[in-house]
Amino acid sequence: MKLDVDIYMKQGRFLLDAQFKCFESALGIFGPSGCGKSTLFRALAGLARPHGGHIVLDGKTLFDSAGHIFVPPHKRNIGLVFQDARLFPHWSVEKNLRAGECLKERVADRPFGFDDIAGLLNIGHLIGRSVEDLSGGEKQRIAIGRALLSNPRLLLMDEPVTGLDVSLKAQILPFLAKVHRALRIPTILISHDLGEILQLTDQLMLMREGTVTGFGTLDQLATRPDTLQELNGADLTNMISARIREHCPGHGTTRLELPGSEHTLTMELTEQRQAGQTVVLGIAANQIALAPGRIDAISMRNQLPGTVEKIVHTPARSLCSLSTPAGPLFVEITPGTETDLQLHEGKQVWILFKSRALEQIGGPEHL
Amino acid sequence: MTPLSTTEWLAIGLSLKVAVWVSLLTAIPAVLLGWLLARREFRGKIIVESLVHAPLVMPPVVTGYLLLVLLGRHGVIGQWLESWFGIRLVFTWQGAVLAAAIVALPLAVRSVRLAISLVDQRLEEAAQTLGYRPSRIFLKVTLPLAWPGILGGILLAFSRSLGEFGATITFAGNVEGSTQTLPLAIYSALQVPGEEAVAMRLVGASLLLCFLSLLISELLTRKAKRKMDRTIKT
Repeated sequence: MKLDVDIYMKQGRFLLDAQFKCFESALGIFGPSGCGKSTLFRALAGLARPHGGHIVLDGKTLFDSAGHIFVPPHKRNIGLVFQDARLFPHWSVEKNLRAGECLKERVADRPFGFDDIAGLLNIGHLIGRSVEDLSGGEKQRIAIGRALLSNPRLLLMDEPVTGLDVSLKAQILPFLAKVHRALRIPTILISHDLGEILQLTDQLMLMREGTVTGFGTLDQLATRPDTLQELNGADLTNMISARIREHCPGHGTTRLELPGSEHTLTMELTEQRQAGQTVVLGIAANQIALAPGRIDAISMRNQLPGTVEKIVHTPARSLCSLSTPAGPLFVEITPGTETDLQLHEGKQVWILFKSRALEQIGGPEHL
Repeated sequence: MTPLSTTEWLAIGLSLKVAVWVSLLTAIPAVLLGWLLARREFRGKIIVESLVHAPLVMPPVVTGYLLLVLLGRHGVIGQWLESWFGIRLVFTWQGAVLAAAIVALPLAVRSVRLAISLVDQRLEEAAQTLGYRPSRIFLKVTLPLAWPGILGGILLAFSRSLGEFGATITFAGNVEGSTQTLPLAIYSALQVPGEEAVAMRLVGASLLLCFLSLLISELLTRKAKRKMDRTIKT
């Protein structure tokens, strides 16, 4: 995706003034509610017309106020998944899914078929049902499928799982990443939950009060005080990929090995995955403790060595980024910790966390 | 009650014929105007709105008179219609249809407008992002979802034209067998002493027709309502 956006838009007292260029295949937009994320999406999809600026996608100008260009939404070929699924109530599930298919020229070069999407989103069994009989999570999956089947060259997802409960989120979020990897459709995901975005991509754009306040990977954003400040309120989650070595039924735990390292992790895996499979795990930055050395007499089973790369301060919190056998990790620290442990760049420490603090986010990977 | 005479049957038949034609004629303009007023902002909207709704508040006899001025044999448009196409509307059953249609149109437009404004615009937006051009959205999303209200509006126009009197008698006249609809026949019967029995029979027929059309309209509305209730839940 080559997206070049520079727009401003006044809506009553609210002013959206956003400039960014994105060359990644996936982008997460993170910001508090009311920061203009949805308005930006409406402008990208053509549902709202900015008052000035331009939008260029893959070399095609979709909007240019100076050149009086405004491509209407139905000619933009940009799919939009709304927070409320917006399924057509007078049509069956299948007809909803195929809604974008009736435009032959648009789906002519679609590299995937109906059954591929039904399989990816696990909605095959819902096809015969009527829309009103679907649960919230099922509706949202149908909405995602409907957008995908219209063969968009850019997929926008506006808080697709907000308002759904935790188990429903778990039903949908893994699909987003899976679909993105399998179909390679450029995707922009809006969320006010950083953890949701990180399951899809670590390429982030931060927004506040109608402006872009940061752009880059999580690592880049979290190691700069100004952008870390913008990430306040976000529960920073570290992603770790690990391979299942063995289940220890006696302890009710599972041991996982980190690629390229002799260190292992211990956690409680809810589902019995087979040994050898790779899973993606999440560990919150505020669930990790630091120690000057390995501690044997402690209940924290997971201990890894690490090197301090950088320490960033904002008025609300301090963040220490470390390189570890599990990859780069963020750890939230208090100013006291920093002085007590004499933390500085290059210092060797141990990171500790409970096996319960680890949660499975994705995988095993077949794709 | 004695069976109806030929003249009376003619009046009933003509009333139904006029009402059916009014329904057919007003359906498309009512849908287009209703959609325009519900979904579009444009210059002069208030003028279009006033013109469409005027027959609702004007005395029907004034509507009839204006039609006569415009479409009469010596009217601005009427003259032209007759000399170029040989079409004469005044004092014909087609004239009765036109008079009743103009009076009934605002009722249909109001129903359609309400029905369309109740269709969730977010669904239309979703259709846009799926590549639907505006005309397709209208036919595939807006129209099917607003259908119960549209049908209600057309039925309202049907019922209204069954009872049309003022504009019809002014523009189409009261010619037995060609423009004498049921209300006009009742009026004529009441003018002649000794025709009270005829008037009574016609009133009975009129009541029956009204009751039937109300019943059908109510049944359709209920069906539509059930459909809407299911719709709202999703």
